[in-house]
Amino acid sequence: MSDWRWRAIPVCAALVFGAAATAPAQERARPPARLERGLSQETTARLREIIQRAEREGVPPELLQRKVNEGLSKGVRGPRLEQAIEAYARRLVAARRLAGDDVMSDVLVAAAEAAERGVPPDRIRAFLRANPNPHRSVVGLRVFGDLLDAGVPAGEAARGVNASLDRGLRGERLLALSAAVRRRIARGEEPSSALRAEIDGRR
Amino acid sequence: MTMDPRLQTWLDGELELTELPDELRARAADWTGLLDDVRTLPAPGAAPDAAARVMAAIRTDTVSDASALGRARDGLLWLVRPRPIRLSPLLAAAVLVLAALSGLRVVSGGGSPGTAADGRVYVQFLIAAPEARSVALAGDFNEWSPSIELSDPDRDGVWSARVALDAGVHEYMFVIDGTEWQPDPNSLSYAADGFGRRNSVVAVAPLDQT
Repeated sequence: MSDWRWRAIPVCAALVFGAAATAPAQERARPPARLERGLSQETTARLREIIQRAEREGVPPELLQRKVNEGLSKGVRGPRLEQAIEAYARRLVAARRLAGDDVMSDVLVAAAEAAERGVPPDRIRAFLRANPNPHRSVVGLRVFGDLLDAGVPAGEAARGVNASLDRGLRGERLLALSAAVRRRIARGEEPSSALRAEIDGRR
Repeated sequence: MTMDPRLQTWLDGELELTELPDELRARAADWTGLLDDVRTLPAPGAAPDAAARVMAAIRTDTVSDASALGRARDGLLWLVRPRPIRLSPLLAAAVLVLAALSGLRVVSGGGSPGTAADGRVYVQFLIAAPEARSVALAGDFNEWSPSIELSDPDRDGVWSARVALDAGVHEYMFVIDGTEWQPDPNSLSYAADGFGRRNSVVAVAPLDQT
């Protein structure tokens, strides 16, 4: 066998293993920003101004950029898009003031979402203090907001979520708690007792 | 039946035909004819053109066409022909280690349900859309680009896709036929999207907390 064939073996092996090693990085890659696509110059300038102003208040610009992309993908344009981004930026700035400078973007979004759904600011602050781990606080705040939406009083909702987190409920299992409470309420149960029944059932 | 010793001596070449008595010369003539017939038979175990065919095969294997096409054909033949490969123990060990490492990647990426190779978690998205011609998935995990296509291989109207997501809470929607944005009817939670619709919510627990 000639030398070039032997030399080809390690080259091919390197290509195969190199491709395997870089695959996760390619999966993780995200599409480029689309701020200017399909927007008038005025709208683009206005959105840039909103994003820059929020950034000065400690809001990561990629959060607002992502919301712009969401609106664009859903066909929202012009003043309607500007108003939605402006409102979202305001909520994120408020959440930053509430949650502090050191929380991650995901926690910031969760805090803004919880405030939007009526979770009182002091409850959000207390919840974040009790749950510094973002894997607990992000989904916990979401369920907190769900329970409040369902009519569970804020104090009981906070205790229920904290108790469920302490028992190891995470991810979809924690989301399932609020879904089950809503089903009980829809069947006519009182919100507080519906929550208690679900928590007792998960002991 | 026994052979006359004089005839045996003649067959051994130690007597001339003329030295045999007349009564044995006729039998010697029969032996001569028989031996001539045997000499004309082909050699046992080999076809008459075996040598020529072996040589032709050897020439095919060793003589390369100098053209680019010929070299490409030679390379292809080299790849598909089985052949013994000799490896040093050190190189063989290195190959085994590489194979083991690549095997671990495959197992953690596809064989272990729910976990991706880089610590993300596989999430199965499902929606029943019997009338749909296409269904895509868009969410905060792909910058809301409806680029993740769901498939319905058995054409029962249930579309699905398996997507690796980071731990955390994600919002998403399905896009039916490229235009109709629709929340997941089976989602456990929803969130207002700020544009007048509601997104579905999926919560992905970290691998060590599932």
